[in-house]
Amino acid sequence: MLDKIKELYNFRELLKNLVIKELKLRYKRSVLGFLWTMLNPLMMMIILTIVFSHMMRFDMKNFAIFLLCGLLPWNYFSHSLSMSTMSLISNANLINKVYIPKAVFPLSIIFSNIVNMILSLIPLFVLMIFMGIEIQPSVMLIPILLLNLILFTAGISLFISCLNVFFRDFTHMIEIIVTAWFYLTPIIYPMDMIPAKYEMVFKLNPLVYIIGGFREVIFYGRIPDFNFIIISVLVSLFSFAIGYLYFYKNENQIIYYI
Amino acid sequence: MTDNLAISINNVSVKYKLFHERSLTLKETAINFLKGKIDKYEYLWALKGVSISIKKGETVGIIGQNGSGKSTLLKVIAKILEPSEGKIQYNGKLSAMIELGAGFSAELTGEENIYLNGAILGLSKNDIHEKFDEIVEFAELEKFIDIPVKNYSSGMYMRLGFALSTAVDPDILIIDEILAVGDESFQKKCFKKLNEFKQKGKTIIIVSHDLNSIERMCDKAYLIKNGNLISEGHPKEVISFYRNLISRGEIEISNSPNRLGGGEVRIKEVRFYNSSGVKTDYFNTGDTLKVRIEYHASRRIDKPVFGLAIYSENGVHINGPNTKLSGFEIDFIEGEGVLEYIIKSLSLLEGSYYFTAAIFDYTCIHPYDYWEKCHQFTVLNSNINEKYGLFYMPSEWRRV
Repeated sequence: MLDKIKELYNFRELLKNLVIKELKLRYKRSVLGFLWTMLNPLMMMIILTIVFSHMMRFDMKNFAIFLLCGLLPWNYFSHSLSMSTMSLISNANLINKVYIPKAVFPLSIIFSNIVNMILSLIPLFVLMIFMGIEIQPSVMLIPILLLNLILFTAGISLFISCLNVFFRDFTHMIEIIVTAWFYLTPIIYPMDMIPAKYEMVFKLNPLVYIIGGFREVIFYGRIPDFNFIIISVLVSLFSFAIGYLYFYKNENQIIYYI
Repeated sequence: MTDNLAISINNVSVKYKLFHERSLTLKETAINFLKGKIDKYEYLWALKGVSISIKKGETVGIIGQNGSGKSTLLKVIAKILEPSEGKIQYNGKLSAMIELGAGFSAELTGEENIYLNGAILGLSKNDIHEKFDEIVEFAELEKFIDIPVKNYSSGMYMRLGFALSTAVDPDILIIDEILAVGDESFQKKCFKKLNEFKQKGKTIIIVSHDLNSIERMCDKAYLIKNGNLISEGHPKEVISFYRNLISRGEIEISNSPNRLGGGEVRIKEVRFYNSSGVKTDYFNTGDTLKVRIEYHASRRIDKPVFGLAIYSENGVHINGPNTKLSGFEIDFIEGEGVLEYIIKSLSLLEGSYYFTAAIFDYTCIHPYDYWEKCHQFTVLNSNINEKYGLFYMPSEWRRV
């Protein structure tokens, strides 16, 4: 297993190139290019803000910022999942012709999306300054939160990219799971809206910790509880370990099914 | 593993699961599970206990029929497949050309693809940077390096692919069948590059159908049949052993059904005879070759047309005469009969040739029996001092 990890490290140049390729291809044919990365969540935010603050009369100060803090990490998570589901299958030709550690395909998606995610934090901060919200020193914790988010997402992505090779209809299931997960995670609504009797259920949702952290440090400007941080770190590490282990165990079988 | 070996393949086997019924989806798996059905499969051994030691600096060829396991062996050596049993050890850096330009991304430019594919082949950015000009020059793409590769011609595509694979500067180069593609000048360039490799003392492993190239390039050849290594040694000997197996019918010339037709007339047998009337499959350049086509017509057939064709080993169609074209009209045939076709002086050079025989109706549209590549004959090295190409044409040199 150590060999495999070392080998993956040796292919870091390829991983870097694949990430660059992903990014280039995404923006190659668009006039606005990288601006889309920033515009996309802003548009989402405008739509959701109109719906929730004005039509559904969701009363909350700075709802737009509140929303973005949850939406950005969520978008990263859900895009990565849906893209990595097909990542091995769509590279079948390459996998059949050249020897490459196969984990680079889902991982390249994880990394190219994180570039987008970080870029889209820029308009968030611009918007906060524009709306007169003070940015607290707690944002220094963002790198740790990002690391958690990457590990958590990578674990699940590795798992489903491999599983989807063996069961091709898994990609449909993922769409449903992701939609359900979106509504079951406090993204468009605050945590304290959840009725007390369901609180326990929500506490079992790992995304509450992974995504919730962003809202704590950016929107509320406070440092989360120590327990909260520990749980999110453990959950991420656990997800990554399980995902990678599954991938590692089944990697050699992929070629027979692809 | 000793130091003078480049690759040591030790008792390697590969087994595939051959599914009779296979659930490809979670849904089917779940339904089958509830019904108590399990996926039925048996193991298919694509390779069985193959051991090969390849010395540093050797050029070796792997030959065998389609489905013999030779491509599996190549994929195992290239690390694309993990062997089910056994072990392979390497001495040095490996680069495999299974398909030229397999990793190209159509939307990216030639330059971007060089960096991406260089990385796929395990090169660092600095390595690629250093070799960039060399790659572009070899691929002759100086003018086109800034346009997306989707706009490349297939020739440009392959040139770039080949240039990249060799730029890796591997110690061991693996090549699958790719030298059969590309135009002639490019092929020459590739062969020249491979010769440079050889001279630098690098190890080359080639899988090919083109026995002549194997014989010309390789120091050693391996014959794979049904996943087993059945012969190894000097290319000339292995290839002649292989040709022998084919002519004895122990190896099917083709796995595909190579016979079709209405069956009103059947070709019973095709035999080759030399000038003294002895049945043989071996001839020398310049010999007389008589072909006897024995047939059986189950009813009276008016105006049949007998045709035949000769193909070189790599599928070049050499000739294809028929009785109608030659003005040799046959009124009718019924029952058993023999037709003879005589080549007075065989101008083919050394090699194996496939023979196709067919009987058509007068319009040459409906085949009664069309037996593609039903037989093979071999032309041996003779007193003719020529060995390149397919043909001997009587000629002389003169200084003027």
